[in-house]
Amino acid sequence: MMQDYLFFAGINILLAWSVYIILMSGSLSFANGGFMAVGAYASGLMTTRYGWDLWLAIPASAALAGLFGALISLPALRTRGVYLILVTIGVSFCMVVAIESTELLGGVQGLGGLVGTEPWHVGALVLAVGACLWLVSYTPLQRILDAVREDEHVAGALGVNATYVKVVTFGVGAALAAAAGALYGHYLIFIRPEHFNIMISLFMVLYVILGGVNNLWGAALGAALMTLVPEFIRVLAEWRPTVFGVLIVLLLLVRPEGILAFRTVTARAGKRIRKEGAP
Amino acid sequence: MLTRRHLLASTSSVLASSAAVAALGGPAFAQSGATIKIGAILPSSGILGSYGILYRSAIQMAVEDINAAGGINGAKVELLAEDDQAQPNQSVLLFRKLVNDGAAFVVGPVTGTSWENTAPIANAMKVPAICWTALKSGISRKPYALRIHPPNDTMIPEGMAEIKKIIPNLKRIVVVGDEREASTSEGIKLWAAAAKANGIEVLETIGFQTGTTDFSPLAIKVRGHNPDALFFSALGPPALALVKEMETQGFDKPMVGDSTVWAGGSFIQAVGSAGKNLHTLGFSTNETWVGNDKYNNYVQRFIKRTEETTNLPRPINVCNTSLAYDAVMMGADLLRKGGVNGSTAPAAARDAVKNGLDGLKKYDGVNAITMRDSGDGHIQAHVLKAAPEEKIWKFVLPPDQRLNTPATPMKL
Repeated sequence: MMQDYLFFAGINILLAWSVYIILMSGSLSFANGGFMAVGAYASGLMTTRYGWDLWLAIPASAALAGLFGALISLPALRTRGVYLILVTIGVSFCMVVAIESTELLGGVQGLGGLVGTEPWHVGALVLAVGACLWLVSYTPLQRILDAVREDEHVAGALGVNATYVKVVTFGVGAALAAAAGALYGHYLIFIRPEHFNIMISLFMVLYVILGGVNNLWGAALGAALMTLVPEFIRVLAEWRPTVFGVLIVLLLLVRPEGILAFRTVTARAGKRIRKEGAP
Repeated sequence: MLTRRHLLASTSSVLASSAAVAALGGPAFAQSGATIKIGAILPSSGILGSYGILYRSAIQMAVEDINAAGGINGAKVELLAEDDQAQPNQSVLLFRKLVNDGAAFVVGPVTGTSWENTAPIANAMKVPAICWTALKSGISRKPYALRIHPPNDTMIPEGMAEIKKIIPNLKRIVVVGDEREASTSEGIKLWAAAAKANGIEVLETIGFQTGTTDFSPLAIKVRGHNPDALFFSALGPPALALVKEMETQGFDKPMVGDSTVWAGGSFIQAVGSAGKNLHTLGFSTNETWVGNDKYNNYVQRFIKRTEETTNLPRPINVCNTSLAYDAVMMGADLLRKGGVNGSTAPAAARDAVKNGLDGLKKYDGVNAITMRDSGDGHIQAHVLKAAPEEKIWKFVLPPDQRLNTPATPMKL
């Protein structure tokens, strides 16, 4: 049983990171539920209809969603702030409706027969993605992302192509959401468009905000807690959603900046500065 | 900036609270030695929470009856009920949890989507699952995942045939429904197909989206056709909004919904005067069934028990709760016949249920259920009419006039 809890926690950590990656360049996406659907349906179609191996279908569907995400981001990133959020919400809705209207994908009746995911597959991907993100935090790429997030005009003045950075992070985030979706779909066996509605996108963002938006550990912790805590308070029966909702509100009141609200590089840089005695 | 001390403090508090919560959850799964565990997956919170509370009462009543009669070969039955909030991923997770907790078989989950997700897993894990609801056709998976509720593919053609008997002059209808929901989108197509098979002209099939709240344009369009009746397939909340809008616009022709509006704990209590021309499909109501003491006894006890133990709107809607009761009783009978007792290993108990289900052709419980080769049950569907003043469903025809010709499952 615990491995099932860990499976869903792992999926949610990957989804939280898919939002976090896009947020690293200063954009907030509510379209990742749609990208997750692209991954689940594309890989599902490849494995069930065309007989592809799951291990080929996952990267292929992730690449497809990544390309799709990057293409969508080109017009979407012309907007800012709340308008970008609205655009991504619109994208999420459109993708669900598109799937519902596509007979090849099973329409509203759904797509079945997806098998092959084991919980350790998700664990391995969490470790691999976590390691990559951690390594990135040590590279100049992190500083480029920080610069674009903080002020893309200044970053541009320093020679950084902010649009390119944002498009790439959007694509990578979409690809990661799709990979998580492919694993999720092949674990659930049967998927329907409603599995990927706007609520799932909302939760992904909530994982990151509750955990802390400035570092990869916060997103992972937020996802893990929001997945596991409801499972361990089942004893509360019908009061469970209420208590869980109150816990979220309390958490946001006590730590509005997130549970782990620090920036990995900044913290490390601060330590180095203190050690070297720099101003 | 967060220092290491802050980080450690934050992490510690999180881990401590998680550990406390884990400890809180632990005793819920404590096992006792000589009991046979039965799992149940149903929503007790979320949008279908009232459905789950209603069904849970029937399931609990079945467990109480089994234990009062001496248990299963001397072993008491322990119910492990889990709340999936009608979310398919939760249903899957909880099915695995119940298997891990040693359930001999599982009843539920409730919705078609959850059942469609759980049925293949029941087969993969070789654990019997018995669903007593869900309407979408073709989603049961033998030999481990069986549904005793008749799906739409027999209920709708049987209902249409009986409607023709009730309204002989029915010539032209409009079909309306939620085209974004799996079972209701199938329901729309089946209503249209069944109408054509009965020589009834379908003037138009109008779909709406899940979450629609304004039915005014749709009602205007329906009235514009001036049909003899309106047929619909929608879940409780949109169905309620639809029939109320039709009443507002003065539509006084018969409205016939599939069994999605029959089941559940609040539709019939909320429909009010809009239900004066409202019909649905089902096979049990709150009414006494002359000559069927087993059924009458169930209805009486279920209503009393549910009124005493829940806050659901009165009168309690009996609807298909008797099938939830039958699902538990059926599994218990198979365990009894398989010689299972408190010392039998879960795997052997599951084999006994699976073997029993495999050869099961009929089950005579509160309902007389015939099992189809597809792994679905069959009970003859009848036309019910809303009695808004009494807030209950009633059979339209007396028992001797109801049609009792099982329909050939309708293919789309």
